[in-house]
Amino acid sequence: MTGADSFVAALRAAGVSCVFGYPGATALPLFDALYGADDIRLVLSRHEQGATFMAGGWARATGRTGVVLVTSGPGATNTVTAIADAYMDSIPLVVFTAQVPSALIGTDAFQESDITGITLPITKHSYLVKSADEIAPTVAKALYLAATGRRGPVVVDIPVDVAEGIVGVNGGSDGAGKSDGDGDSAARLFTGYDPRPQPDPALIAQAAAALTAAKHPVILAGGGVIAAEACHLLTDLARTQGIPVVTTLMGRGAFPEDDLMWLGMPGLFGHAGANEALSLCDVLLAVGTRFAERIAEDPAAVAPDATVIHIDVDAAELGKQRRADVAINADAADALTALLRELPDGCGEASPDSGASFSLRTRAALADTDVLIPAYVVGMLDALTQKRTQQGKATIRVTEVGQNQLWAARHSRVTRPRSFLTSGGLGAMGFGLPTAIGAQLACPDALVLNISGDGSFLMNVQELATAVAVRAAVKVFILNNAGLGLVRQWQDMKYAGRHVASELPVDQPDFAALATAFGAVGLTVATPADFEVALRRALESDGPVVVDCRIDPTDIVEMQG
Amino acid sequence: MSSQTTNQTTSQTDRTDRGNRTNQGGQTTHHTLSILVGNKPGTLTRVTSLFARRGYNIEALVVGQTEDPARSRITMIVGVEGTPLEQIIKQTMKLINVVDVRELPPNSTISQELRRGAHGTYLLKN
Repeated sequence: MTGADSFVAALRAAGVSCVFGYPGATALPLFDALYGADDIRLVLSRHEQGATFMAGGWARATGRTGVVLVTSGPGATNTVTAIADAYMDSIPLVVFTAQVPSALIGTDAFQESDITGITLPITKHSYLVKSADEIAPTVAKALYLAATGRRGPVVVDIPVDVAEGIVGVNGGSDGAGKSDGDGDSAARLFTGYDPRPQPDPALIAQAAAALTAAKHPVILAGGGVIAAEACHLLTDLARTQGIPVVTTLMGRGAFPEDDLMWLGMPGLFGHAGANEALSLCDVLLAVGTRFAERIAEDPAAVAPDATVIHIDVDAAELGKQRRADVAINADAADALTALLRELPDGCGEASPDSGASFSLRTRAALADTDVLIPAYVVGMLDALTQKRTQQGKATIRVTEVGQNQLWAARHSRVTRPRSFLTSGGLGAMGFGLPTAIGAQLACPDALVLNISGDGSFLMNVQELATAVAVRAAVKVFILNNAGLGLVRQWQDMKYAGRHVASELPVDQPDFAALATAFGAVGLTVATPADFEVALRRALESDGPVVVDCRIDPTDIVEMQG
Repeated sequence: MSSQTTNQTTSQTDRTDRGNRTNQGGQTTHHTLSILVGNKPGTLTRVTSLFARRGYNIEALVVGQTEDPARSRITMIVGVEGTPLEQIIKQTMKLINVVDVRELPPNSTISQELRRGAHGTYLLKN
């Protein structure tokens, strides 16, 4: 058995069913080992960044680890942006990069890059495999690390001679971590890594006491609640205790947003009700969020008069941005379960109106959406989503970055976790199309909608070829305002309207024609009536569709004061 | 694409104070850290590049294998200004190859500086 064979066996043993990748010289043995592996789907992208975002989309939509296989040198460096994106949003991802032969490492060989060095700051961990025997245990360890604790990307660099090497008697595909080359067991190697710290009962009791005595408690839920599969626990807690919920961008869908207790999303581009709730609450229960500076200009001053209970699986986040009065280092599901046990069955002392008045303000803003076209487009897709949800059908919305992202966040109601996928931490343009493709492949029965922008869409447009080739029937709606809208908006506000490098020709490219050239369906619309026709057409098609929605370039995203 | 102004966290009131400040306004305090790590290639780089990108200043550093060949110990003096020491320790503990991080308290730690003496000798500096 070669190292490459043991690589595939290790993937199989770990239950990996899909690998996104792009081949190259040093990766040939690894790709060859996947030939004929019918239980592992290999998706060929058109750019390694596309492959890595696809794997990220797969992971975001399902919670399962996304797997990437690329070649050395430029293949590896092309994955960097998407690895950084997974790092910022805590997405489980393992990126296998081929490497030049071991003897050539460090000699500036052809297609050599120090990918483990390059990704040091943006990976949870990384490995350079030194022998064929080490491949299987390293695959197991990498997948384990990516998928536990605070999820994140792991890079595994496999030199081509190691992949071609023969696995010895002691090694092989047991994946137990026993033969990792220097005799350490997996347990010893991971000493100091506690992926599932248990909540301290004394702190849980303190938190419960604070919540019970609170007059205006608020819950702030982030992506960690979704990662921990703790949404139902959060919803239980909010409803039984009568505590309204604010969700961050990464936490959208952790709590059903058609519930009156949802106050919206905080921040400059969020909802007024959410910001108000955060500033006026007396007890804040923050779960699975890192108090990013997107939620408030000064995260240290969020909820200035409140007792803050902060629950996070990553101890380093507790007190990093905002001092936590009760800091609980635990998995969100474990902590919420423990908290629910400590809390009384009925409501606390929270005023029954505390949620409603904030909620009404958010709802009023959401209702006033049929005036502007971007909000109209997003609103129509939202209405479609809600209708499908009532019919028991899944819909996944994927944004791009910029005004399209902010409009999507402002005007959508997300009622299910893992149904609103966005590049929250990194804000990487080009995220949308490949992420949508990955999500579609992971969830074949879902309708996947990509709300995009004319700038963003071009960044990974080549993946339209992938979408057509693998029949990933994603529906792309480009909010085409002939420019980099958010950059232009800031330039209008802070740079006296000097539009430097933010104007794009509205019909270059003709997106509909471009889509058609790739073999997809392409449509151009400029009125609500045309949009409705295009939407119907898009839903009827069983393949990918691109709808170029010409919107008014002067529409801006409303900001909270 | 962010162009928000930098945070002005000058509030000195207790409830908005970020984390546990070990000092006031810009004074640097020095702490000796002992970091026990798995003896693997790249571990030292991971620790030092973490410190660099988070802006923690390493004043002095020594590293070597312990009596357990699978373990090395990094002993370093870090200058803490702004970011609390607790945050530095927690970020370091996150690294997968780091087993333990602890501060060596000054009152029970011996640290000596050497100076060059006559005839090429090295003397303890007082």
